[in-house]
Amino acid sequence: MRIRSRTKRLPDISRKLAIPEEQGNAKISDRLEDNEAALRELFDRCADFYIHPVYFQQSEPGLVAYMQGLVDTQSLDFDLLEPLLEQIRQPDGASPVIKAIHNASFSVVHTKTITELSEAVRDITSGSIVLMMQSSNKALAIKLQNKNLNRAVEEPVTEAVIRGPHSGFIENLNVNIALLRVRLKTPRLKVETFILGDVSHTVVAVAYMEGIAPNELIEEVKRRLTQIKIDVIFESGHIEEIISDVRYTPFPLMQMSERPDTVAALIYEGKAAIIVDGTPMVNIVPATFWQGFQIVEDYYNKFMFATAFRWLRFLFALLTLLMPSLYVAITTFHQEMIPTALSLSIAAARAAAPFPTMLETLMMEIIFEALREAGIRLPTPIGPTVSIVGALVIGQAAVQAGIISAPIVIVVALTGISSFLIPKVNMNLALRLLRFPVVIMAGLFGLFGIGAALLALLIHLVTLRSFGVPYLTPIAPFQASGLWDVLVRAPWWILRKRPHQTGGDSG
Amino acid sequence: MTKRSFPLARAGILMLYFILLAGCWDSDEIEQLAIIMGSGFDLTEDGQIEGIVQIAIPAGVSGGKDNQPGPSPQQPFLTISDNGFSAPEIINRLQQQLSQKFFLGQRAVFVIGDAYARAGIEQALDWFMRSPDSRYSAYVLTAYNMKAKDILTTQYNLEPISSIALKKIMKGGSGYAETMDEFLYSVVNPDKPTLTGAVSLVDEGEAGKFFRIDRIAVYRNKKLIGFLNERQTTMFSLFQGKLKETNMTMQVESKNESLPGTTSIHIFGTDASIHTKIEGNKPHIELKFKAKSRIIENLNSLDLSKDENLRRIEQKFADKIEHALMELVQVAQEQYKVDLFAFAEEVHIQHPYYWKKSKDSWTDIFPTIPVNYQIELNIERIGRNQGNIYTHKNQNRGGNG
Repeated sequence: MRIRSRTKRLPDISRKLAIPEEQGNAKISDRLEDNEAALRELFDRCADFYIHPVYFQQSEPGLVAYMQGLVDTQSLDFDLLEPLLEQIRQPDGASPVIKAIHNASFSVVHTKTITELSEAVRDITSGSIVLMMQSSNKALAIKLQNKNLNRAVEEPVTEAVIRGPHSGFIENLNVNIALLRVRLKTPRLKVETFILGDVSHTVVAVAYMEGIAPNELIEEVKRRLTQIKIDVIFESGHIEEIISDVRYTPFPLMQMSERPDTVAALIYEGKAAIIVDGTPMVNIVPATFWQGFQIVEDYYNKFMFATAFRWLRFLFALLTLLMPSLYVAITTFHQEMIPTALSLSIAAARAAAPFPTMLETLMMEIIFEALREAGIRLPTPIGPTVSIVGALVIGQAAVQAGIISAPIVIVVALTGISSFLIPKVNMNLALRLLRFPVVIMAGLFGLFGIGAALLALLIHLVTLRSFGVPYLTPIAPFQASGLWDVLVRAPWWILRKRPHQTGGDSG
Repeated sequence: MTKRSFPLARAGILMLYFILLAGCWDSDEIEQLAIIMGSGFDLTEDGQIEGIVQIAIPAGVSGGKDNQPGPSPQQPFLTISDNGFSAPEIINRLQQQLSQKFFLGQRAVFVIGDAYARAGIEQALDWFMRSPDSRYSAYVLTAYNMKAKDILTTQYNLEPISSIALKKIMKGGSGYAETMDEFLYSVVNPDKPTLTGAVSLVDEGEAGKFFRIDRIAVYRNKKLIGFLNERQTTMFSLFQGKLKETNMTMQVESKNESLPGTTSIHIFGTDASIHTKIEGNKPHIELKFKAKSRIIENLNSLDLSKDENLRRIEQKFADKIEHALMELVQVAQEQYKVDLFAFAEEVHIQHPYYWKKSKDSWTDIFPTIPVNYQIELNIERIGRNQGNIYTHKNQNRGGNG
């Protein structure tokens, strides 16, 4: 496989957004008082910062520093400090406690020795307990994260299925990786982490199957990730927008999912997952256009139903894009194309319509989008009100009052329903947005305009690449074997090969 | 330096093409159109053309805004007309009366008035062929012994718009259907006869007036010269395949006091072909006609389970069809001197060299061509009863005695 690397440099967003570094590069001092003073100064006016001395038996005094809400204080007291206070009786050495804990004690927790003050600060802010001892220039960071900050693993709202596992990713990276590991129990599932964001220090993991995912892909993903310079990363969308191959496109160049089974399946196909700590949304690269119409349930249901539903989705995706514009084009330019009876009905319904068809269509489509947006933001109990107001007031009353014509309500409603059939949120958004320029082209130039708009769209689509893979693969460039999982969902005994572009030698 | 492609400039130029080629000035809101459902030409007394258009009133057809079921208070169409020397002139004058734009894209029928047809239809044809507005799938009809206006003003009670009724009659196969493109093709092509269906009005009293397309108007040199009658039309349509199914009744046995002696068949599949051969520098034509049929009524004493009886009935019907065809050929060759069956086209195809020599004198050759007939009629099904109700009863009685 050949990945065309980006010739342009990635945008250096941090240059504009960066705030001055908040801590120096000082080493940890062997004087406990100096360390305490330094930390207290750095965390000045941080009410949740907690620092207090501990005294172990037969040992030098120590110091514990942590952020109160981030650590599991119960574990800290009972599992860490209590045994420490009782057991450790080693009088000699520079920092026997630190060594002891690091070497032996706590298999359940993650510990590391640190020497830099900045490192200590970073560990404290990301939920570790930093333990320092008198007359030692080393400190110990013990990861004891507060589990209450995680929500439970529950069904993802955006990708609900009827058949299939009902677990979704959560905001915690470790849990998310574990959810993948549960499904792919092999050491070949590699997870490499990066810390991105100068302020947020977000952990970003790249998960892939060694030997299946092509090395070029993994190298490219890592290369692009390390080039990111930004202060904060809260969501995978930040990363997606920065490292996509093409910046100005409505189409999703990475697949987004919050389902572990979807992500595991795609990793198994030889793709790479970019998992960002703090969000359940995982990006999978490379993505193709057709993935926007595939759902994981296709692979759980029998292939006949899956194929039928896939075609239903393709059909209605086309309707989402073209239904309003076809109506506008045909009723204003090509009236001879309408069957006679229908043309008379439309003419009768439009007899008293005050607005031209294109304006009416645009108005109603925008109102529909507004209703939809309103429905999402509203609290659940008020949500249905919007649909009632929308359906009754905008729909029926406006038609009866003669402000808009009845056919356009049908067209807009059908378009709306169609858009709900596109399973992937980002593909859905792309097609919904694109229908507006197509309507305008239809209103200005008729079917000719629609043809031109579709042609432009096609040209745009074939120029897109996602991590080097042409976006319309396997239709263009054509690969016969890939069609078995695009136009139809072939039965498993046919789908034995991995996709050509990502599948490695062992496929 | 690398070559620059100026994507924005290119897009701008493309956009300019679109605007110039298909700008929004071509768009019309559908309610701003006067949707012409049917039109026709008549001859006025001073030799002008009277153009008649039937305009649909959409609110009258589909009940309008209130969508109440049942007949709407508004009439579904109106018919207006104006005189002039040419079609464009008439359209201009009609447009001046209309608040909406003249729109021919949905026209279902074009009716030629009898008098206008006899005077010659040349005048209107060029416009029909040239104008992109005119729909080629519209049907062409000739009004039988009446004006086109009489047809187009008639309210047909089964359909809101009478032009659509005419279209449906022809589309349904009961009535000789000739579309605009077939019609125009036949006019410009010397091999083909110019024919249209001929429509007449039937007054059913209380029920209103009904259309009947049971004749064929025959044109020669773009002038109407006569009509085929009902029987000839049926046979001709059947032979041409324009009529897919028909019923036929004939006297098979002589009438007696209990039985009328007739048999009726339903013909449901036909296959016709014209074969030509040149003998002695003269074309010879053989008309082949095959038909499949089933018996739908048998009012005589023949036992249909017997093969020889069926063969006899088949033969009788075949003879009847042969006579009908002979009559048609006679009408074509002697009465109208019009090549109804398009023998010319067949000769042209099958004997192109002969055609090249003789096409100029075809009008002289055609009436003298000898024609043979080969008719094959099969009765494939005889229905649920094997005999008929009378013979059935007699047999039962005989069995008992």
